[in-house]
Amino acid sequence: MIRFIILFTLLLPATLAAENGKVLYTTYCSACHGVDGVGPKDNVNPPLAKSEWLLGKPDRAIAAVMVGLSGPIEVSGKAYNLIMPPQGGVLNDVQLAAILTHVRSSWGNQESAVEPIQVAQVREKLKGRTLPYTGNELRKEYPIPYSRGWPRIENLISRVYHGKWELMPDFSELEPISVEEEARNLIDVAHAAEDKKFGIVWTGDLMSKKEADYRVTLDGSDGSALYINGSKVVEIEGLGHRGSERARTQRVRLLKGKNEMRLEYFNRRGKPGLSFQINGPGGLQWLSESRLKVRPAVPPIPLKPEEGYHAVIYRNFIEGAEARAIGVGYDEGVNQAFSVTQMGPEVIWQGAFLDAGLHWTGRGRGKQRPSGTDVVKLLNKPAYALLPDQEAKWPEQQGKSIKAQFKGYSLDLKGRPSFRYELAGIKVSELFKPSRSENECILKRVINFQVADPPPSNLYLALASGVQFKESGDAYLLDDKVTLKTDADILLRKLPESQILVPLALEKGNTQITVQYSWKKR
Amino acid sequence: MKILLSLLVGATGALAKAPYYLTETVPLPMGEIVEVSAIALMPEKKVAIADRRGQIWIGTGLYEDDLSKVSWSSFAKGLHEPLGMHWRDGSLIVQQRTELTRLTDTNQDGRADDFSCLCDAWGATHDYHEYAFGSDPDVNGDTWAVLCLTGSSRTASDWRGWAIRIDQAGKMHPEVSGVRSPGGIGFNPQGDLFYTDNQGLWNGSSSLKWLKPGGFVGNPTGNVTAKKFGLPAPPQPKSKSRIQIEREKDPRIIPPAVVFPHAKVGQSPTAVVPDLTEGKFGPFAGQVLVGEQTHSEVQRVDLEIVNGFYQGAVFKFLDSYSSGIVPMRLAEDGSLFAGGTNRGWGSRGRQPFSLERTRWLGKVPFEIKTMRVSPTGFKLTFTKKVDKILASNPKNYKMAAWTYIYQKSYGSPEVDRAKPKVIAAEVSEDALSVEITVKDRVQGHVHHLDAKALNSTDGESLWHSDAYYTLNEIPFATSSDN
Repeated sequence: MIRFIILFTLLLPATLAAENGKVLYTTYCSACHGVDGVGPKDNVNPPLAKSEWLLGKPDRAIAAVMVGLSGPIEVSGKAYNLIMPPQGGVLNDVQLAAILTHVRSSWGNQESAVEPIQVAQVREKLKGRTLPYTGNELRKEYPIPYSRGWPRIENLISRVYHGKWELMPDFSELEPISVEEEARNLIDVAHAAEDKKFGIVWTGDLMSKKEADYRVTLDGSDGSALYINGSKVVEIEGLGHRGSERARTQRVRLLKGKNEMRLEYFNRRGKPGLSFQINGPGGLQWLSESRLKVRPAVPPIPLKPEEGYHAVIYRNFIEGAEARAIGVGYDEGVNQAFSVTQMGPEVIWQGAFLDAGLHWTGRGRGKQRPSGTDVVKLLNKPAYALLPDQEAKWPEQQGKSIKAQFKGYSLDLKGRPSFRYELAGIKVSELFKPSRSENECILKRVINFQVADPPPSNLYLALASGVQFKESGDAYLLDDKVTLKTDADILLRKLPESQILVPLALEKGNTQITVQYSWKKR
Repeated sequence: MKILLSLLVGATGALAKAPYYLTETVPLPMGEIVEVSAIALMPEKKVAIADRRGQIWIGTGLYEDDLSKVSWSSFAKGLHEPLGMHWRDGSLIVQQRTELTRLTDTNQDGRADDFSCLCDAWGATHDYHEYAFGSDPDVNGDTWAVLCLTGSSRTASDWRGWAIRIDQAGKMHPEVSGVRSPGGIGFNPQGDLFYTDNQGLWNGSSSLKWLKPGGFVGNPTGNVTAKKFGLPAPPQPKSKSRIQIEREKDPRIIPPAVVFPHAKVGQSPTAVVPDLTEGKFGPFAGQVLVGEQTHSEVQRVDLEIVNGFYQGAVFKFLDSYSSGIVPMRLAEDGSLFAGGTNRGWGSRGRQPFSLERTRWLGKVPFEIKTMRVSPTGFKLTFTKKVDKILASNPKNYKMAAWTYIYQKSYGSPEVDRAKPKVIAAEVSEDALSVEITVKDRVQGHVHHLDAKALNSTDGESLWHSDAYYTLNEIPFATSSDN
């Protein structure tokens, strides 16, 4: 029987194995578990419809499907004893995620979708395991949570605030930075814009099936306070970690039907987290997304050039760079965030490029830190300015003295971009040539100015601005991390500007400047 | 083998449940996560899709009956959350979060190699919520974008909360203030531009809004940018009021054309797509389809202009999509392509992402085709002949009306409940339309019609028996109406 199933699956045309969980489920699983998640009457295989084994995080189910199950197991109050063959060798992460998403959301099951990355993590964890799980072992490793029943939250709205508090602020005096409907109706701190120095106020209806006494528990870092029908029920004051003795439980009487709920929360430092549970008639209910002690880590999605290409582009929020900056990672182990507002490489580093996990999971909040090392922020101000004299203050913003307009980029056959923009009627292109040797890796930057009408002679280009630098021969060591060399004439400006400038006395025709950033390899 | 599989798929109930429309899964690139965020139709029956990870794929075979042969090739990567895309003169024009970009494959190797910035004149911060949804070209060839407020509640950069027009020279023209959190933008068949805005601050419920140039669509948060750039101040409505009251004070306030009552008709409306198929997508040609993210649905909207303002009815239409519907395209042949994603915002369809194709199977459902206002009530037209005995009985039309608090706070309950009463129902000779006379209609209210008591002459019940009509304006009786 097992052999038959595996043979059958191998015969399937590849195109059919697309991410349709229902089709895949029908193909791979329904023979035993039924297209309806139950199967025929007196099925010797356990049902998946409303199975408690599917509740909560998907890891339990992923593990079972990955390496299989054997021996006695109790499902929905009935005992079963059969072998479930492992599927991990047959189905890839995307397929398993699609199947489990279908199973967890069908026939009365209401669990969250499963991401391929979650499958990949379990696969990695179980690498080398050949024995199937037993029911007891699985339950021990992945405890089964309580079902989502009553009371429950409806009409949940979150308001996020920025601020640094030691005690709960008066949120009514503050302006939220975002207001969201939380359609999942679960308390979740992960949707805040920041990790630290923020607060959230959730409002919603706590719906109860009957009038009864309940015990509510809050556990969070830092402070939190729960109000039901206008009265404060429980509060964790001040700063401190979650999962400590700071957790608080209080009794509250809920009315039948709607109870007005307001939950206030702030985090000043450390990992944010908030769990909220309610216990009473009907058992224990978790009303927060997270039941963990700390916020789950973002799964890693490291970015690399595709096969056949020598560069990868990532346009999203990069720490240290402006919001529009374009990240480029090169095969040679050098990387940059090219600012299309300041105009030029704004942040450069060596080693690994960027991890997209932060932006490609959840809502995609926050700025991603470069994955590599020796990160240098080259520009704290626009790259171009007209200076009345060499001591003049550099403008803070684009457009004050001269405005550069980004025009786009083109890719060479290996996916490496060259950028183009215009300023004062000059057409500028920037070409980047990465290279590496045994001891160092280099990002070479070739700037070409195509001039029809010469611009004012007091036009300057900042190669570095707001960066600590040391002269060493004909080169400059930036922040003790990167060596900058150029064939152009240089004007150095000490603190507070701390700039390496190129006076651009551009004439009609083409002018080229070469700049080289090099790192000692680590 | 193939026969066996299709039988199994059929057995899961998709066919049996909706005999009028068939929704099928379009296979996506193998092994890839493709959270579809924009769709463009291309020449030679190709379809381009963009995703939230900033990739663009070009597919062939999406119009074939057998979707298992669909194939994809990667066209571009590294874009910033594209939420609008169309094909124009050999290039894909893509609305990225921070830039309108023209992508061209200049060396014809199947991959874009030129990314021209057409416009990036609006502000941008590192806030994930500053979404930008882009339109197709308007009659003049200009494209539009609706720019979400920072965090959907404030203005941290220029032109947040505005609909902007980008002309063909790449110049930006701020046109309409009052946007909150858009989910899609598109034209009606007449070429007027609409977008969907989500329930929230200054939006009592989600709605389809008309982007009338120079108008104001409700949320004053973005008005500060007008001041900064010396533009005339847009309307500043009073909080805890009603749209109807505020727009009487300032006629620049354009009321939502069609309100989608929260939770009754979805929770997060998205794409706006005109039905220009002249009947290939069923009997609703000339109407507008609207995607729905949270409920994984497609709604149907019938619009009309009364006293210079758009208004009309929304009907529930298609449901049970696999993920949260965000972009849609309705092709000439009647293929509706619907892309789904539920990352960060849950959806009823529990797949993390999806691409589906819906086609009309040729059988006409019994539906209220249109609901239009008249001086004395509403005129309903039907897709099939109505049972005259049932349809001429005014008791068979239940009506309720309400509106929402127009306020700075998030959303609104349904308030000012009224009970309009259907006192007469006159069936046309061909039995395809009914004029109902309604007592006590309320201007500015959503009018909910429940017509489930009606049958077709074949004894068929309505596929969807609820209509929600937003009554911004009541027409005056003219001599021809008497």
